[in-house]
Amino acid sequence: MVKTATNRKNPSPDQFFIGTKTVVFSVLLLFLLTSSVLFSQVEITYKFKPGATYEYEFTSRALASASGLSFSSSSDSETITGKFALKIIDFQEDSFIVDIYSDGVSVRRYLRQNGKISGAPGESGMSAPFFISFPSGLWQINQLHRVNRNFNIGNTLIPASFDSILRSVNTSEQTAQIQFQGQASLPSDQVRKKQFSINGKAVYNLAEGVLQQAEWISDYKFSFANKEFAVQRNLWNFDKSLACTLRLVNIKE
Amino acid sequence: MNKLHKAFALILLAFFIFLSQISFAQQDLVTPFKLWLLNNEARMLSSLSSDEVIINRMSLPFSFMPPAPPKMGKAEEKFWETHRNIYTILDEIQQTYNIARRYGNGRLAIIIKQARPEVWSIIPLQLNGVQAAIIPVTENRMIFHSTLLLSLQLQPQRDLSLSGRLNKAISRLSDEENRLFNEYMSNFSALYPNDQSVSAIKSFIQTAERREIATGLQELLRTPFNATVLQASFAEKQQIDEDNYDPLAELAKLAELTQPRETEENLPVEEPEAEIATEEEGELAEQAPTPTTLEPPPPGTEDLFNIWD
Repeated sequence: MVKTATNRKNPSPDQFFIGTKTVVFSVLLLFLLTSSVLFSQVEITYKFKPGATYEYEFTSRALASASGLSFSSSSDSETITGKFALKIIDFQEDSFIVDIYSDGVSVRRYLRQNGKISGAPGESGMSAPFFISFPSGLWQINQLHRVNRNFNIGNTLIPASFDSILRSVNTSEQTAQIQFQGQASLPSDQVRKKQFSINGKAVYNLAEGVLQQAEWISDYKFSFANKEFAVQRNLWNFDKSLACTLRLVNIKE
Repeated sequence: MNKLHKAFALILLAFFIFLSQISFAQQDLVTPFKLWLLNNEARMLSSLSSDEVIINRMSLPFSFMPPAPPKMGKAEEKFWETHRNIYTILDEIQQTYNIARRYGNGRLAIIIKQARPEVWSIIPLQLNGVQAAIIPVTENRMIFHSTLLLSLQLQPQRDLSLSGRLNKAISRLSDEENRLFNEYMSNFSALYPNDQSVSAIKSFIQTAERREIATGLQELLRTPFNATVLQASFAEKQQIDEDNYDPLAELAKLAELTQPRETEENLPVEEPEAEIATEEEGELAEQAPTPTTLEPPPPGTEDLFNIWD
């Protein structure tokens, strides 16, 4: 016991080295843990600069097939490429006032920092599109963020949602990768079976505070049958998909 | 009396309406199948349209993107095109069936030939001294025949062979479209086993493929005269008449026409011996002078031509 106490008071050089190494490793581990916690959650919000113009390139390609009994047909459109520009007018009342120019037509929208729109003077409320929005505050990796909305088609209420997950953050490239998925419960019954979904991913530029790149595919399936008492016959099947890409081309300040 | 007339007219009108309804109901062959396909199309189009509204509102998921969404593919267009072809075929089948059912037994052609309405139909015109009544009988028959076909909505070139018309219409469908058409009919039969219209369509098409249908119609469509030849002869005659009209020559022509003609059909049938005797007598007759007066009959025989005594 005395020897042990002596050893504690006067450690040998080997023991001292081992103890120092442990402390260094512990500090490093603590630093890594802290940094991982710090970089596993980021704030994803639009940080447009008033007066700047953001130019994007947008492509789309539509694929469709229809089949009925032994008959089938398909269509494959060429990739359509277009450009649009965002001119940031101002930032007022937590909203960016943005003019979107595309094919000689401009539309004004009031965009919140999380991606929601607070106003669209040129578009009626009924036909307003449904958009992805980001969570307010810090967004942790693999945290699911859901946005819901109901569409009214006649007397039918159609629920729709967008789920988005922050997949990774690249500190060296200052980017964050976001995966998103959208679905709408289209009205279905015994003779009409429908399915609609959107799957895609986006790259957010942490330095500029805008979306740098995105790609997604929307899939729509519809099968139509006839039913009379116990007899059910399938008639037609439709598959439609739309592949889109988005890329930030230029920022003019 | 007036009330009685009105009541009679109303009863007659109701009777004709009733008859027309019965005849239409009996001749309706393709409507159930056509309505089934049209109804399915409408339901499917409605679904596609309402779904497209939702899809368009979610296709551009970022709020800074322009509002005009890219258009989805339209692979169903080929379906509509094929269905339009099928509807055309169904209309053709219905028309062919109607014609075959109404005139295919040939009874109308027989009645027209027997009744000769083209003759008595101009009697009122003649009685009233209308100029049109002086049209020659042959030309009148031609006009009547063409008018009759027009009123019956028949075209000789198109309807002379109803099987050919039907087969030609069906051949416009490609193999794939024809297969789809048959599969639709099979589906319809499976869904509505009590409805026999599709079975009737199938058997009608198969019969037309095997043999000529409604052969009695050909007699009705056949022109009473060769129209082109007749028209040409009329035109030629009118031209000659206008160029050199000679009343004396026409009188001579009329005299020739009024003289009895000795054709082979008009000659009496005699025994071979009598023929020899006739030939011998003919030779003698050539040698002897022609008598100018009639000789009295031999004594003891009765003069058959003396009807006055």
